[in-house]
Amino acid sequence: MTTLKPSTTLKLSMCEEKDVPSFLSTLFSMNQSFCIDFSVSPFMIPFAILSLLIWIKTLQKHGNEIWVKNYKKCIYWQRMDFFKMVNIPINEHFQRKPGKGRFIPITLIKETTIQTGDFAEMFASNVAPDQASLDSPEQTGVYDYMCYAVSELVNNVLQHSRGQGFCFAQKYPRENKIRLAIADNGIGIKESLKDSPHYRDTDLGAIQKAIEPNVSGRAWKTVGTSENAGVGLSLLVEIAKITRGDYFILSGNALCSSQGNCQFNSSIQGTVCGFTFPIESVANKIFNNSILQDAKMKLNLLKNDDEKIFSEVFQ
Amino acid sequence: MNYMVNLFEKYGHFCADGSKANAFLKESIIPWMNDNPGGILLLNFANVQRMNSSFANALIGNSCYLFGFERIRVTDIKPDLKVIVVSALSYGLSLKEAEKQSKA
Repeated sequence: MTTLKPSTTLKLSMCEEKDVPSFLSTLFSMNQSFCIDFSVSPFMIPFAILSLLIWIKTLQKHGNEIWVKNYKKCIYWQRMDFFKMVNIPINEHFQRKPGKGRFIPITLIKETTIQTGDFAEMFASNVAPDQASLDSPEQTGVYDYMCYAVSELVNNVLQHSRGQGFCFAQKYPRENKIRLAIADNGIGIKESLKDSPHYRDTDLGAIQKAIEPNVSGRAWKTVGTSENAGVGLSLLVEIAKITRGDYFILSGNALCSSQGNCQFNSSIQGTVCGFTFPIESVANKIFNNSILQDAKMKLNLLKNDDEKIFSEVFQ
Repeated sequence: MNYMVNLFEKYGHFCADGSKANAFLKESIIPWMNDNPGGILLLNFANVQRMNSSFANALIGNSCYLFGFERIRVTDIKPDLKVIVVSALSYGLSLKEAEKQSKA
């Protein structure tokens, strides 16, 4: 049987934080088999790349086929294992070099093989801010932030998504930023809140509810025996605000982000989260005692007199 | 009587997995605390370098909700991890208060 190549082509173009809503709008208009043209090899943030990945998987699941063209010179996408992750076989025409200190390619999160802490530390050590800190990365707030963020996001994927997870991070020395993205092709946020009192009947409503503290966890199911309190996502969004970074949460047909909220005509199957943070805002700080503490205070997860109330606990 | 848990031996230097903490709570801590009314849960943090909020809320927050912070003690904790423990205890207390209000 011969399959004809689709007539619709997505020519990739630059996607920085400000371009995310329009990129997603264009992406979701490709709602059947299509071809991706890599001839430009544009700059795209990890959140956009993982959104494309999850969209391809959504379409593939519904029997659509995705082709690629002009990818041979597109070393970056090959090196990031994009084609491998979307099951599009290609021949690599370059020599792989380790990305230590600059990036970690798209990595599959497998529940059976990973220890959340080890996985988070592997990510952190791969995007440590500079050579000096690589010698003792645990001294930097950047390392601490990455460990915290990746471990919370991986917990979310493993506990709620019921799908396959992907994680990707890169350091951008010229901008002095780190971008982190994590995605899954699971049930999405709205569905994960289905039996919860916090359920919302739209994807946007569900995302907005999920970033309120103590909502997305399972405390509502059997109070006191929750898997967690559902604070990971809300804290990371608050940290993005405190550090003047960006955040993006895409689930179903909705995007909730620091660049605005949108609803689209098509839905991805799963959830994609992305965070951008300026390195200088977290470097050389004791992350837990500064940024995390501030975020917890703002979300009322920590109160001024709590330390006094619980002083007898600490020996 | 104390039930001492060495977190480093059990979870390594990074306590990060909320599901594992929850499983341990259900399988070991809750039965022991119920069998030993007045017994103290002693959490030893020696050599633990990191912890996230999912883990702390699952283990410490829920223990606080179920048994009260009066039955929890924490030893050998790094100063910067204290804020995560305090926040988890606060979460446990808030669950208790919410339960009281719903019953009232």
